[in-house]
Amino acid sequence: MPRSFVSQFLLPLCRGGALHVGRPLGERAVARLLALAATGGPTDGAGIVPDPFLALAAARRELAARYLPTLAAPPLDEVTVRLGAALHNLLALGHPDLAGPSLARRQARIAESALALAAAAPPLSARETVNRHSLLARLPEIVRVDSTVRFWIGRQTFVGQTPPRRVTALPALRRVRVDRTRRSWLREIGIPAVGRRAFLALNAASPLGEALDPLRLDPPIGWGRILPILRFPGIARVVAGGALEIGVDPAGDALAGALYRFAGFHDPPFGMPASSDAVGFALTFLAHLVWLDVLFGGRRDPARADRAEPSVGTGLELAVVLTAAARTRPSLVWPGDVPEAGDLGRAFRARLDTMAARAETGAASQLAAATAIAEFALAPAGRPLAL
Amino acid sequence: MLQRIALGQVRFNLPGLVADARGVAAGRQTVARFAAIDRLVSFLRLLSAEQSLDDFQPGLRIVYARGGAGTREAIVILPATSTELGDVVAHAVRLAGGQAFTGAGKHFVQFRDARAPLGYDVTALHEGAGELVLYGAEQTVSYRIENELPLATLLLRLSLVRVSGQAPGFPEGSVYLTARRGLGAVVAGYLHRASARAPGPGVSEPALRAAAALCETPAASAFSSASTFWLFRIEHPPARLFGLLSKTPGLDLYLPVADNVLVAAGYRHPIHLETCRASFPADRLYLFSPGGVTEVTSLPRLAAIEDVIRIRAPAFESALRQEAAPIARPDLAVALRLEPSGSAGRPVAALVPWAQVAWLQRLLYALPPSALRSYRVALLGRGVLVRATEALDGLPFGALYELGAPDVLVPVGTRLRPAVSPQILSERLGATGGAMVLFPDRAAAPVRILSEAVGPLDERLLATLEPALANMESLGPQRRPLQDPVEIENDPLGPMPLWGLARPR
Repeated sequence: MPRSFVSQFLLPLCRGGALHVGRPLGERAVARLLALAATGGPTDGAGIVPDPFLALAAARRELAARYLPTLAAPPLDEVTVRLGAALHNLLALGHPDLAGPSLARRQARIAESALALAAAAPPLSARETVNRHSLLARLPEIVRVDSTVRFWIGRQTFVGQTPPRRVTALPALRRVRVDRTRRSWLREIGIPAVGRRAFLALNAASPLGEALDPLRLDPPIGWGRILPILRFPGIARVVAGGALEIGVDPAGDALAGALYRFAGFHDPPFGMPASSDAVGFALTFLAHLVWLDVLFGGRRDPARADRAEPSVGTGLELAVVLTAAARTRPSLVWPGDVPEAGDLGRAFRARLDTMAARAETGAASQLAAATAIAEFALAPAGRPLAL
Repeated sequence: MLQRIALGQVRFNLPGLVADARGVAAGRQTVARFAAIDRLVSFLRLLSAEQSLDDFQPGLRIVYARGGAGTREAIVILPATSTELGDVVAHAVRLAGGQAFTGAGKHFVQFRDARAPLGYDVTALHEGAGELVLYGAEQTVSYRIENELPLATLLLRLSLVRVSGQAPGFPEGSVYLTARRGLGAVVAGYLHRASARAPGPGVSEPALRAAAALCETPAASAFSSASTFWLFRIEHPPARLFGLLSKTPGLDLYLPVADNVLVAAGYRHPIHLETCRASFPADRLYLFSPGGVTEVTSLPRLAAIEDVIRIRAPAFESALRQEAAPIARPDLAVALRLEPSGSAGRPVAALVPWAQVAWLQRLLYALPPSALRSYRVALLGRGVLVRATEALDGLPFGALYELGAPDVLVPVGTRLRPAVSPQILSERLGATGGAMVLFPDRAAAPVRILSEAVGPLDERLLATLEPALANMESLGPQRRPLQDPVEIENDPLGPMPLWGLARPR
């Protein structure tokens, strides 16, 4: 089991290919794999590490190099194995063989095991952040192909399974037609409600994927989960760069909307709780995005020129939050070493004025709530905020 | 439990719900729910009458889903690019007797109505299982999707409806006619005679034109052979042909509703097919008739009716009597010649024979960066052609060329005669669009060098460079770009799928 789990699940998860989802993994199976990984991987008779473990390390290093180019190949440590097993169990929640009268009970049991496996503290360094993310970086790319085989006397549906050859045999004689539907697991199929807590725990343990995808709809991005890694400067730059790629206005809107939930203690109980320092840091990060846009946003990437222009309302949430923060305490959005009289300062001031005008005309009623968030960021004891 | 959205509200409990500039909350998708398939068809008919269904592609999905109470319902999922479009969809849904919802992903809330002009939001998300959750005013239902019905499949399955009260006659433009294989030659001959018949005096109607193709449909089973029929396209048919073409057994008249979709005359499809062009692949022809749909797998190539009719060979005697007397007019055109000009122009190119390429290679190390950047090269059969933008410097060997016309290279000291305009010369020789024409010498024929064959010198002169990656040896030799998709493959779970999992607390 351990070796096939590496070669048929962890390796395709990083390198691409068929992601084999089988029987959900329990603590005992994970312990066996951990024991194997602790020895540096299995060896054959000559003491050579076999191919899947090397290939997995190479693929993870290639993924990690996108964020930290000098990083060595990530090790297959305990947290990595547990996160991989947790994801496997989450994927197993949609396995067609579980269908039956006791489906809900079975799913609850699998989700509980996934939650236990995914329960890990946030990463303690940028290196650890990227190491964990290297396993889950391609999670948004996971797709499921559902096939419906129609033939002369009926049809059969195969969920995430390749139709066997006996079903598609004699295609002309039996008038076989195969309809394939390809759907993204994360965006279109979605996490079953019973596995939602486990998925949030997975994101809390490896938050970089969530931080790089602020526009995710369900579950939406949560500051409590991504803040622990934003305090690493290298990771914060990567996340800010990702937000700039998406566009400061749409990404900023999503992050600003998440700030209401975070400051109002409406986020699920995963990740760090809201405090004045955390909310203040989030506000400065949002302002940092706008600073980057003022500095570098004038050049439109020709590769993105064919994309649709954002709608009229895009950027309003960000404008409201930053306007309230700038009015409450300018230092929340303005670094101390940038003079207002310089070219850069004047450009940022003009941007703030534009945002303030938008906020006044488009969402004056929200300014009070956003001001409460900014005041909460300045409160000494971080008293709870009623939103 | 639903709550009405207030003006200015921008935060919603339902994921994916956003407010537009008017304050109306809507998601990226609209969902229509129908209790029966006939209502679904009515909805598609109403919607296609107002809005092209192609505007909802890709993204339009029709699924059958089973709700929590066990009811099986038809659900249409459409992308909503704007709330105005959503309003059109919701109007059609209500007319057809269904319910409209908006949202994204798996959660959808009831679409706005008179009671909540800005829309609805939910008080709490449904926690139960289900692939689709619809929050209505009366109840919240989660659905499990059972199967999906592609729109194209639905369109092909629906039966045609007879059009009543239509005056007999051809519509404007073209009509199509199918004929059984045995009738093809007869119909082709008839149409050819009808097209050749001159209109009467004072008649200004356009002349009939026809084209024909032999079509073959795929075999229905391995034991039956493929059926073959003739397809005729008739442009500007006179009204007198209508009765003949529409009532003769073996002939079926079709009217085009799209480029590759034809519907039998006197019938209409329940859905406006002209708005569903994306559902019909452009390389196929679809013929909708009361008996079913005929799908021609490759678009027929229609030949002019004059080329299809049978030709009778002329009698032997009459052919002998004809005298072959070709009459050719004298042609004014003359050949282009290279002549000595008496003076040498500024060289802009040089042809280095392959025997001297080694000299060129050594010289490349000495050429300045400006020359390397501005020179372009083409590898020809005779040698390497080096072309400068303005003037060629620093090449002491090879045959030098000057411009005889724009992008027309002639040997230095020669000129082209007759002295036609350089622009006309370039155009006639094909030296346009980046292509060049080279006259190697006075005796050789000119050669045309396409723009793809010419490249910057500094790009061509370096061999392929692949520096070795440092510190990667320990990772093994196999390295493949991470391009393959990650696809779930559900393996069989066996009789005890939860073996090894801890019991719930």
